Amino acid sequence: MRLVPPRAGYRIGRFGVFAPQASSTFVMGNMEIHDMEEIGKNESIRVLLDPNGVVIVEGDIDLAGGPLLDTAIVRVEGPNPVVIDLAAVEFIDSSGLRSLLAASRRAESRNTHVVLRKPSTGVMRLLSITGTTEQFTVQDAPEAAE
Amino acid sequence: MSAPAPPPGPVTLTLPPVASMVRVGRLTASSVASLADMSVDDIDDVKIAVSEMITLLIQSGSRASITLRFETTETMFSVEASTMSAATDLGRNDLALATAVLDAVADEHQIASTDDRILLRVVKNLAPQSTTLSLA
Repeated sequence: MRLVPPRAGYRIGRFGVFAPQASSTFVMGNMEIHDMEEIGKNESIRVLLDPNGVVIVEGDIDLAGGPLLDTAIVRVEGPNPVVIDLAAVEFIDSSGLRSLLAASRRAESRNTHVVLRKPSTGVMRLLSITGTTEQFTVQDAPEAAE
Repeated sequence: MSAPAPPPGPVTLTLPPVASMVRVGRLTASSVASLADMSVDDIDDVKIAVSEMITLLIQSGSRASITLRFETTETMFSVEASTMSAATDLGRNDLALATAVLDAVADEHQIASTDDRILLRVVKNLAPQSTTLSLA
């Protein structure tokens, strides 16, 4: 991962600042992050894969966003835990949760697990409501949800 | 001092039964709920409920439009979601998870189906308005 200051000519979108003609560049705050692969985006969600194979999700995980998340998760599935960064998730419902649960079941069949990194309060609440928190390894949960 | 009147309504929204419209319904629900002076947490609950309702109707397989009807009274905020569909099997797994969510975020919820229509209804009770005493 290489960090450099942003340049002029960038487009501001719902999911951040997009570099012109450089889909592998993502701007977070005042830094550019290179070598990030965009798996896909639509009106609900943007899903990225970082160089370490971490799935990064931005936006809403719902009926429209779930399939893109599924695609990204399947890409990184293997013997190691699947790590999904949810820090930029603004909303999740049960159809989004089903994507995470399906990933957890597949991981279990490979004798590994799914790590949910930095889940938002909304994500933690949905896990709690549905009694599915134990299906995941949660890293860096918000303080109120711990 | 009397409680403020509920906002004018009902508000009705018709959506095509496609996944991208779930977000449209959710954002509309959020706007209408905010007019009812609901708390941020309650508005979040309404957004989740509406998302679950629209998703269930889309997953019922109906190709007909989905109608959402939002209504606010002095004591409650209700949302009805319906579509013309002969399908009565909403999918047991989908329904179980969605019902668990609706149980948690809504004060009441109902799922009803007839020969040609599926109707979902969710109610969120409104907190009593605090009254302010004015000194004469």
